[in-house]
Amino acid sequence: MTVSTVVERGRFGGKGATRRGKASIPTAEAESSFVRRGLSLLGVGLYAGFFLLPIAFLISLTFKTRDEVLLGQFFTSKPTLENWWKAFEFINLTGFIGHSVLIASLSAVLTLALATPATYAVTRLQHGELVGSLVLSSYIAPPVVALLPLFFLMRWLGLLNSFAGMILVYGLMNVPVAYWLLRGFIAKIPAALDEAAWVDGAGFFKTFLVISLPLLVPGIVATGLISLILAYNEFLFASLFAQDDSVRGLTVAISLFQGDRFVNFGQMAVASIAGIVPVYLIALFFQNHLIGGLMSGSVK
Amino acid sequence: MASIDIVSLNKKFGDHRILSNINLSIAEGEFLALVGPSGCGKSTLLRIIAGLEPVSSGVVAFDGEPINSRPPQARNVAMVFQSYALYPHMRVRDNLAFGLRQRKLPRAEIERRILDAARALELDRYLDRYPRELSGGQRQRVAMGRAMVREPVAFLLDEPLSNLDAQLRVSMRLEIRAQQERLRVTTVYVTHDQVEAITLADRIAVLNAGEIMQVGTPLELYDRPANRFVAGFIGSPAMNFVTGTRSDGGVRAPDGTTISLSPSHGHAEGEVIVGLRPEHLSLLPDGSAETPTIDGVVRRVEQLGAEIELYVESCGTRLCLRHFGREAPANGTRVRLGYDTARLHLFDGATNRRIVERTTAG
Repeated sequence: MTVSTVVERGRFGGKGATRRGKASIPTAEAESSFVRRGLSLLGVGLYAGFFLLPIAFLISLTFKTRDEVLLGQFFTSKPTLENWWKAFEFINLTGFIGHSVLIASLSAVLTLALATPATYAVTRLQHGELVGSLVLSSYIAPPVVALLPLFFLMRWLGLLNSFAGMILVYGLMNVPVAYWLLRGFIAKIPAALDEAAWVDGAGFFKTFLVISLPLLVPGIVATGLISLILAYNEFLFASLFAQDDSVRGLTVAISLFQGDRFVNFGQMAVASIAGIVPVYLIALFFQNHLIGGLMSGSVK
Repeated sequence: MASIDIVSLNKKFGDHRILSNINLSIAEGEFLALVGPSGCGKSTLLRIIAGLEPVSSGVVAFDGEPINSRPPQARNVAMVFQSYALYPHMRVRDNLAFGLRQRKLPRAEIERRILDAARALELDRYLDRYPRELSGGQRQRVAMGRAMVREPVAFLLDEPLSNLDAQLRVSMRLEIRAQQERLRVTTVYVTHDQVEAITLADRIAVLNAGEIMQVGTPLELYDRPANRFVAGFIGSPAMNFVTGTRSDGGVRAPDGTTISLSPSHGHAEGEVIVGLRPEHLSLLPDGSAETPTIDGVVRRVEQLGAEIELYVESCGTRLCLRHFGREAPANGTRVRLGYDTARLHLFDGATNRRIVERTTAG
């Protein structure tokens, strides 16, 4: 009752005097809203737990000895920091993470540079609508289908074990995803804006640059982040096309902790945690650009 | 400024016919309203003139020169969109300047035109605001301003007032008319509101189902509608229609009432539709000797202040009548209505076309 009274007072503030006669109704309302709040908190808690538990488990792994890992317990009896310095000593972890960040971000830029104007042209100028379905169908095939042909193609081009090669592969690979994501964002920009600009005398490309592109920034950032994460996480192509230490990325590097006879789980966990950090920082940096409402005031 | 000619224009979306055989000439400096119900193709026609839609066949010409192949950028028309379509990331000033910058006008000239338009539309105080910081009426004025600064060959307005409240709509209507009279730019104005069309336009083209029903001055459309559709569309409340058969005394309605015709309608035959405007029916006092008359029973009374709208059951239908007075008969009262045969419209029952009056001399 105390809580519900507080809630009620909070809600009706200074109007308390006029409301006194009908107090029973708002109180019941406040009680039910309290229950609803509790339930939603519980829901959020479960949801967060679902995603955070694996990460918590990963963190706990980093403080365990090899033997303790195999026991499968969550908490450790004698935590150790050994994994942390050994992981960076055993392989050039910082360097590999750096390679991954470089390849992933530049490939995301390439993806956006190709997909943004292409998606705009297909959806807005209504040319090549077939491209949309083709683009999707190319993405439905499992990537392993492309593995060998790409390997020989890249060897022929001399792009194996090169940053340019990896950026090119990921940059092109993610264009279909970017196309389907950007379609939704472009569809949200009223077509009348483009038409108004055309009637005002701006050319089709200029309209894209000056009218649509600024309004697409949140969509471009979101799409770019997803392309970046996809490239950052990719393992299959990386394991074949970037075997040399000079270009090796994080995903392949993590697999290095797997020896012939045993898997070094603790150090692997350290590498994974360390690998999450740059992506999180990048996402955090761009978060402010993921705002909606850019279009408000333009139509109606 | 330019004259606009549309010749044998057809527009299809797939198998769907949007516009059929449109022929329309708009004189230089004329204000033409395109009216019709939703989906009649009026907005499509406007977008075709703007170059935003290709034609399926036919010709659009400015000053006699076909411009079908010209993209919207090269037509030098200014358009006001129903949704306003203001550039949301630009201030009002830049919204107004955008079209002028595309035409590479000198900076001083751009500034002069912006200030002129802003002053005329009372937007001077809002030039540095973003569209989201403006009210609906102000946004509408920015959209108008963006067209006005351009000095284009034609203004194309697509239901520019439909998002405004009733009061603002009336004041903007006066504003648009005043601006058009000042600038004298050829204007095509799309609306579904026949009152807007009548009050604004020099001429009106009525569209229905992709076809032009009639083109004429507001009074021509009101006085001599070419068919039943135009008759019902122009005028508010809408014209009453009674379907009947031609008989000796006039037209025999389904309930047996006979509606008299003027001698000029003597040649009508078979099934016909009689059209009577609500303002041309009068409520006759008891014992009045005026003829001709129709008898009926009052079914609904709507008091509007200046006038009363009476709905009277008669001739097998419900007739609306505008009564200019304060006293109205109660529901269920038997009343006698008077009408003038010279103001009666007659349409062919099969074709819905107007049966044109003939002089009785021949």
